[in-house]
Amino acid sequence: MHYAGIAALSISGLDVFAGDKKNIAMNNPADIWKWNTPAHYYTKTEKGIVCGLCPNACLITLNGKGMCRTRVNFKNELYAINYGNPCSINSDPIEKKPLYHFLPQSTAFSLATAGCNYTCLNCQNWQISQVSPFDTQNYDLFPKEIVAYALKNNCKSIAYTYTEPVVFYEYVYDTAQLAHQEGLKNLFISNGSINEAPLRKLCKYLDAANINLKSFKEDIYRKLNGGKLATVKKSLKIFKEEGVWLEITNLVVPGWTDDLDMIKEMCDWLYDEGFADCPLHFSRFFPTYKLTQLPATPIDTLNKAHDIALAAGIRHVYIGNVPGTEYDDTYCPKCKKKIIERRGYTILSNNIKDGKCGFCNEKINGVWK
Amino acid sequence: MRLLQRKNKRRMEIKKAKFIPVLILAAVLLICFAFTSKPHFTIKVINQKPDPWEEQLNVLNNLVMQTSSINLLHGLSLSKEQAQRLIPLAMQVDQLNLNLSLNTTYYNNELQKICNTYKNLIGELTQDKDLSDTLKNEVMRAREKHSEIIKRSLLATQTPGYHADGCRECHAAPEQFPSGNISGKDTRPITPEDRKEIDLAHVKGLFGEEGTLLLWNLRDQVDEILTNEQKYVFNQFRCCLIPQEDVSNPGIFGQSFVTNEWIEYFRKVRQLNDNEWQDYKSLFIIPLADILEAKMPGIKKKDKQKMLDEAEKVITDSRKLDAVDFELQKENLCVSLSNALKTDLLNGEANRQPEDRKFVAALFLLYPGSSAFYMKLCGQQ
Repeated sequence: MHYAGIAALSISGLDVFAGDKKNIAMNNPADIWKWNTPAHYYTKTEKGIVCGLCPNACLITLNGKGMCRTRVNFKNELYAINYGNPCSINSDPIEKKPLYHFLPQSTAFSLATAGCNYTCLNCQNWQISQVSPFDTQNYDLFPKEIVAYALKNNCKSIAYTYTEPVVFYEYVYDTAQLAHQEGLKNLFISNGSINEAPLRKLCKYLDAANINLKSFKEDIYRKLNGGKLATVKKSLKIFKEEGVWLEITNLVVPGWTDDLDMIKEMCDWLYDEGFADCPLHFSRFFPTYKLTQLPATPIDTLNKAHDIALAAGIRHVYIGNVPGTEYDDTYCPKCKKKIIERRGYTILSNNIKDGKCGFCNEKINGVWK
Repeated sequence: MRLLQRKNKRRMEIKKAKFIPVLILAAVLLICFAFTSKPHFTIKVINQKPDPWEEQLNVLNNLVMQTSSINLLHGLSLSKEQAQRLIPLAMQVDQLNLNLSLNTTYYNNELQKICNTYKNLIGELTQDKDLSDTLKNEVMRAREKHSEIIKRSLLATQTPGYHADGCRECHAAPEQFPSGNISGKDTRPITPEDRKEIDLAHVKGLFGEEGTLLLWNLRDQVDEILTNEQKYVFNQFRCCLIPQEDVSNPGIFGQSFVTNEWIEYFRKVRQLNDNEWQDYKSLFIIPLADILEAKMPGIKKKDKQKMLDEAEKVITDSRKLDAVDFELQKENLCVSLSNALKTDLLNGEANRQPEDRKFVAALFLLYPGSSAFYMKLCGQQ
């Protein structure tokens, strides 16, 4: 019951829709949170509810919340309290996700709710990821409105992004279904920390994903991110098996994830496991959140990582967060010519024709139209 | 003998350089400040002691140029290898021992305040610190004041019978400034050709003939060090005091516009109801006029009004959007507002030719003091 007071304080002046409020509200206890929905994956035990969505497997006692701060045990049932309550919405170029081989130069309706199942020391969005929906200003925006606004604003896709979409799984799932019905694509920008069953179910409606492979050592994953490498590796395989277009991001954090031997090990694993055609984005770290004492990643480290990945057999390797880098462009892996030239999020030239290099006819993997 | 040969060679190069209308765009910003002045060709040699007003003008120019150079160096993502190659080139410029004195005797208190604000800014930027809102506001006020002074200096030269040499030919000293409100007064028109001469004159004012020629001669070497993507930056680079924070495109350098602050501007505009908007609209439009005058002190009344009308249309359109549409369109709105207030086409800065681009790159990447930045970068990496 203590939620009611907090919820009342948290309702911002941003209520913009009547939408499906009535139906949602009728299905849910009124005093838990203004909108919510029963969670999809959980098990009841004598000690409480065990959430089955992600590998954290939080044991949530009565009136308690999961580590992600979005799943609440109310009267011994689990509810997702972020449903229909995005705290951030934007219209982004798809290159910002980053997705470089999927509908280039298109726009994605991008949204996030509060919460995350990781605790990254370097989180860029910690103001919304490391809090609960009670603490953010939220919009009331239900799946069919999202789809309607996406269409109205000429978006080709909906991106579940910024925080961690795994923790607003039910919201993603419902929206993604409706989006497909209207011809919109679904983009999942995630840490990949999700259990197999919910992931496979969701993949039916996902078209592309960018998974943040944060490092390649379990102890670093645990200390830096509060996550597990094994789960992410497994998720990568599932995305591939389910036919979701996949790109991978690796943030190079000085002193944490910049070990070139580890990067080589990661690239070798990606190649061996059949991810050679998945674009790999090395991203530059900038001091933030709990790692403000660190310097930004040296450009040379990123360049070396880039070269290691190419040598390992990854066909498309990019460097992100570095204005002025030549590795923001797409090169044909066969003839080595520049086939897409980018400046920031803008494409200056695109020489891919029918999914092939315009110079040598080599197939360039991706979803280009 | 070798020295003599070198001097002769330089003289020949200087002669040659005079016929190359290249160095042009270089001054980029200073440009803005001199916009409506008629061209002058009398360049002070740096070893001569300038008169106090000329020295003051050069100090102001230097501060703006130095700030822009720092912002560029921090934003250009240079690698250690690139920095190592730039060091010897930058040291050649350092060895000119240019007298860019920051410890000048200030012409008056107002100018001293402006310079102090710019110096504070440089201090923070050099340490790569986040700028406080207070400092950003101080810089904005200083820049407005700076632009007003430049405009008054330009207007004063239009007084019948006015005649002076050197910097004073275009920028009269404060004791000759017109008094009262000058916002409605137009300065003398100039042509794109004048623009090139003016830009070059401003660079020479800081670097002298020898320094300008050195930059010109180093331009190809600098260009070879840069990636194509970095070269691209110099097609459009404009001087900037506050580092760019372009939310729509991180590849844009120089004078920034699409920032979170502008999104907040739109949010405030949208909070007003229709009656309030009619009552308070001018409070939101006047700052835009100030910005235009700061960017381009010599902007014509007619041009300014046209741009403000366009800006008002964008702002009015933003008020018609519902909350979600606004969130989805906010960056596009910023781009539209930025375009409405773009002065590049008016002041001849829009199209930079390849040789001009190289020169501008050499100017800012080899700016006095940049060698220290490169050495630090090499040490860090």
